Amino acid sequence: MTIETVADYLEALKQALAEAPRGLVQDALTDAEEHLRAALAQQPERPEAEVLAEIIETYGTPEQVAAEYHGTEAASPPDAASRSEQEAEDVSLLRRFFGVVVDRQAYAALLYLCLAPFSGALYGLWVTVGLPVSAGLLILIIGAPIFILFVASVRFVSHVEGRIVEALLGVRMPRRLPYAPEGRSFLERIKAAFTDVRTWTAIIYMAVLQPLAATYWLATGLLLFLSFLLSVTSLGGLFEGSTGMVTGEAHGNFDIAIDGAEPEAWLWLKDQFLWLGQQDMVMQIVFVLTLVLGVLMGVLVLHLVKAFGWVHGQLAERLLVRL
Amino acid sequence: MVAFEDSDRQDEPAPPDSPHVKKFRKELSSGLIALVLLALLARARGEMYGYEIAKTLGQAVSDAPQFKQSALYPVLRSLHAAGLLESRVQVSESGPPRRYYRITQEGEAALAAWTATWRGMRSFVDAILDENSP
Repeated sequence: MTIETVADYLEALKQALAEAPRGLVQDALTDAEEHLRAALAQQPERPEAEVLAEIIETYGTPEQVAAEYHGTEAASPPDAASRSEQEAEDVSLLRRFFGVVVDRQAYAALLYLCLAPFSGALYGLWVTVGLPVSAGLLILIIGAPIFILFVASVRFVSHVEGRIVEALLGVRMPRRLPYAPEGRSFLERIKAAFTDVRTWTAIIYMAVLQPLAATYWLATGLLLFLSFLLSVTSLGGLFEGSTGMVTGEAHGNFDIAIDGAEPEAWLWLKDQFLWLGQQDMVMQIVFVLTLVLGVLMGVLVLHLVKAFGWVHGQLAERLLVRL
Repeated sequence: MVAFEDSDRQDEPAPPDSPHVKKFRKELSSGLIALVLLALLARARGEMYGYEIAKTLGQAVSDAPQFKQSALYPVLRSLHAAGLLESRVQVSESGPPRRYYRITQEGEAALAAWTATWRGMRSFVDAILDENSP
């Protein structure tokens, strides 16, 4: 492919980075576009293709740039991602199941899920009010700047949300705002905003975040509630049994007295009866089993949260990264 | 002896585009670009934007540059993320908006430490290499 324009170069770079995370691709494209356009602006009188060939000489061909970004990225992966890769090396199934209890990524995802209903509510409000109002005002002259402002706000929010997603969910998202050409008229900008599919996917993301968060919480909350219920009931049962044993006030509330007196041997026997009476073995076993089940479910909650984090990260990458 | 077939030409340097040279250069440059960028921004005593930095580096060395200019941008961003640089975007009158970088106090401190590390490392490596040369 011969490169004659900046657009050609960016297209070639995009192809060279086809396997890379989308966030990285967007950063690489933004950097390249900024550099190439700045360099071209230095020599406006010469033909673009000619100057571009010289710039590529020093900036690097799309393939070289792709290799460069791959290399740099390996040195600075998203925080959460690098850790989970290390953990993935642990193959023991038991360790993988319980490992989630000390998995930073699970708690980061949990934090994200805690934030999501609030950020989702804000985003949702912003797009459900902002989109109709700004689009409606477009018929008036004054509407144009308002609509452009709205689209700019969507891009900014996408970027901020992207940073949160990378920090908490470990998906590589853009680390800088996308390149926006200057000097375009209002009409051009509005046209660009309308025809850019990312504007719409970002708006969709903002609109659906809250219902999505609600769905995540419904499933997580249900499991968490079950786990809590099981653990507390069985703990309660076990605890009640054991205090009974110590104090002698068991469920088996019986007393034997002969002529108001209790001989030594009888007292001893009574103690044995009391102890036996409290040993509701079946119940004890059931309580232990339900406690184990409750704890297992608690661990499962963390797995579920982590899974939701992964799913949501993929969704955010698809909808928020502009390529 | 097949194994020593190459021994008569072992002192010839490998061509600059050989995979060994490329790999070694890449490993070396990953940390050094950061050092060079901090040094350049400390010397500038002000703000510089990406293309300006690339151009200054190109002019500073007369022989072939040691790395592609595209390598600067990710490093600038990671230095910024690490708090060693601060940045702001400014709309430019001629051309696209520019991201200007400026070294922070933390960056100055890092530069001093890195410079000492680099000098120590360089003299160590030089000492070893000088022992090898006749």
